[in-house]
Amino acid sequence: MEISHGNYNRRMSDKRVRRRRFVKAAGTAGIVGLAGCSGGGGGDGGDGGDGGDGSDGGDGGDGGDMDNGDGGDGGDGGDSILVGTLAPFSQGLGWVGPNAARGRDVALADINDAGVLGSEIEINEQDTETTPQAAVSGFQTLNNAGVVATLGPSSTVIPNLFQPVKNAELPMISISAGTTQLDSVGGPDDYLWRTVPSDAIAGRAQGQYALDNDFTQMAVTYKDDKGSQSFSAAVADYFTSQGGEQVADVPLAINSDSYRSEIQQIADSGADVISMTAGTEVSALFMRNYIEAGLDIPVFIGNDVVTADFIERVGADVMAENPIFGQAPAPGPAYNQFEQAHRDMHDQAPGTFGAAGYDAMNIIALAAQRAGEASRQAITDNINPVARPDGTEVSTFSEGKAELEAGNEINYQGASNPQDFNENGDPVGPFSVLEVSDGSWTEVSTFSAEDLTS
Amino acid sequence: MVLDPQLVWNGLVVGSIISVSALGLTLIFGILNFINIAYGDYMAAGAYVAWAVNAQAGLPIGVAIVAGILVMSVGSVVLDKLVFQHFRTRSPITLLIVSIGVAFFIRNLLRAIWGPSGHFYDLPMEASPSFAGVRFSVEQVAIIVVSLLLLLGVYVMLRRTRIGIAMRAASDDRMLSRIRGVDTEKLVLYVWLIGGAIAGLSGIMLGLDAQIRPNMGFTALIAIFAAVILGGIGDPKGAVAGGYFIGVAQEVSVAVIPSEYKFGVGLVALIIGLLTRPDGLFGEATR
Repeated sequence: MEISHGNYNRRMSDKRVRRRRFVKAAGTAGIVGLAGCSGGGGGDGGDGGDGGDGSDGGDGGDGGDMDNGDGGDGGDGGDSILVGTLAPFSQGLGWVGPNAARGRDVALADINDAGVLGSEIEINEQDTETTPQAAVSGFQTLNNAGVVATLGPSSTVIPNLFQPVKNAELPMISISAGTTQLDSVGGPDDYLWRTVPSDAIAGRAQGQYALDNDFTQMAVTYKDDKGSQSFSAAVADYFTSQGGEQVADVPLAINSDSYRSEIQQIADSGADVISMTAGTEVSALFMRNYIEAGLDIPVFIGNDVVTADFIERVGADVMAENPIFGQAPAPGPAYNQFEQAHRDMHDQAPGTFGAAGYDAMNIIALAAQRAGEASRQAITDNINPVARPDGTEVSTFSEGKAELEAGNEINYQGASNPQDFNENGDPVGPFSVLEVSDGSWTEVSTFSAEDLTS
Repeated sequence: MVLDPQLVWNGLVVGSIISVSALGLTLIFGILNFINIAYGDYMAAGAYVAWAVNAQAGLPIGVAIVAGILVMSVGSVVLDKLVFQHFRTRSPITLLIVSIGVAFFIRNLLRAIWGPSGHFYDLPMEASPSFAGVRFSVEQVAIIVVSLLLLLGVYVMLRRTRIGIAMRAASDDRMLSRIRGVDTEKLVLYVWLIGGAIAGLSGIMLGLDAQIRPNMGFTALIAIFAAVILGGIGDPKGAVAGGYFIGVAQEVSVAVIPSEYKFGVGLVALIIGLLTRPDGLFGEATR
């Protein structure tokens, strides 16, 4: 009896030791596994794009102090002029860079055909990897290479570049940063501009359309990262400031396998309209669970998923049958011309941020042309003047160059929007609310720039 | 506080997936005595194979499910022969590290073949019917029914068949069972076949309920490990109970805590379980 009792105790003790070992080993493995994931697996962890929907993302340091580099003369003819492109080409927002680069190359073809101050523009491309650290490193590389201006990155990383850009006196035009953190930063003094509107403007369009349709109780739900939070906050702030009520604030965990509980929370809140902001992965799963739930509550989705790819992912019929709305900047005056040129060059329609890349490249080249020299300061001083409303309207570099050589001032009219910059380097233009019809995004309402900034 | 029946239902669906996954993991651990970190990626591989058969090849979902299960069942044996068998005599920690390597290989292979984006099975996306205020999809009902049938089947196998009894014996004391004539190498083959099939099925169930992504299994591992540990290592019945407990607890918790913290509920349950039931939910006697 004693022996069997002893055996039992020994076995129990073995099991406990085994269990402790399992817990310890599982913990160790988890740490190793997570470390491995964070190193290389970001591609699917990221939920598509948040660059345009207001990421103010990461906290990866300030990038330190950077000296002015060499300022890059660019030359007076003969030598090529070096322009940078610092954009996400990999990881979570890896789709943004290629789209913008294709748009940039459409502009570049015209620019190099016409010539800027007798030279061609050469591109130095750096990948931000959608992380602040890589962005700061990429910026340093561009600065050291002597680029005279650069197309800039997404909201996720651009706050980390405010000071380095200013220190380097290197003009940067972001092609995708909607973050509200840029609302009070930018312009010639900060060497920063963007060719996409602020999320605050997009949020106003969404909120105003909801109010115009007599929705008064909004549930705000968003992917649980800073970028999506920023956009959602812009929507909620405007909606509540105009008399609406925010009845729920529901974050969506990034790697969740379902959002049914969150949708149940929204349904229980009494909301009559939903504002949902996230990238493609989270948005697709949310929409699936939303449709399953059979809610008859209209839902607005974030800017980044107003794409053909998202319609394909969720299903055109499903999106058309349900009250699902998106919003995007209304196409700029030069969009049709740009779209045709893009199709001719790339055999495909422009992707999201393609037109913004096209505009940024044209503005940099026109600024150099107007200045008569391709230096950092000269370009910085001439970005606003080439886009001011009192000049002759032009929509390509070659048109602008001809006008400038004739001694006329110009007003660049962009493909993504009119590119009339305010004092903080932000474009102000009309915004459209869209829904899916016949398999594509179709405009249902457009707000003018005056409506959205008054 | 009155429990929202919808949240309870959601929890049962999640719990079913965790339970089945935990059952497969604990069976493998019971015989092979190592933590197979690649188990979550076996799940993802099963889900992807089924998706490829269903959405890419255009075959019915039933055929796709069978294909996913079979591929992962056989695939687990093949991976054992190619990799794990060569480390059989090494320490459990060595095997664990090897399994991390296998996990990375599988995950990146899936990413290389099918890309990093998420996918859904080719099933209609429509509003679910409701009963007594609870909305449930056909897929969810199928997940719960299949889970219960599988759990019952494995229970009967472990209790009533020679293989199952041999598995339990080897799980308790592998050396002693070998002395008593149990062919433990054959048991290893069976456990990989069964464990791999369960991994494939649970991955498919997860894909039906959520979306198919390369890291879907890896991210699910935390809840699965929590269920296995909460239930008692190597105790199939405990793992199943632990899975349902964690699934329901995390889904119901959103009624009182912000939903982004719901995954922490399983871990809190695990800590409480370890403190109060150090031998697992059902203790030593159920093994």
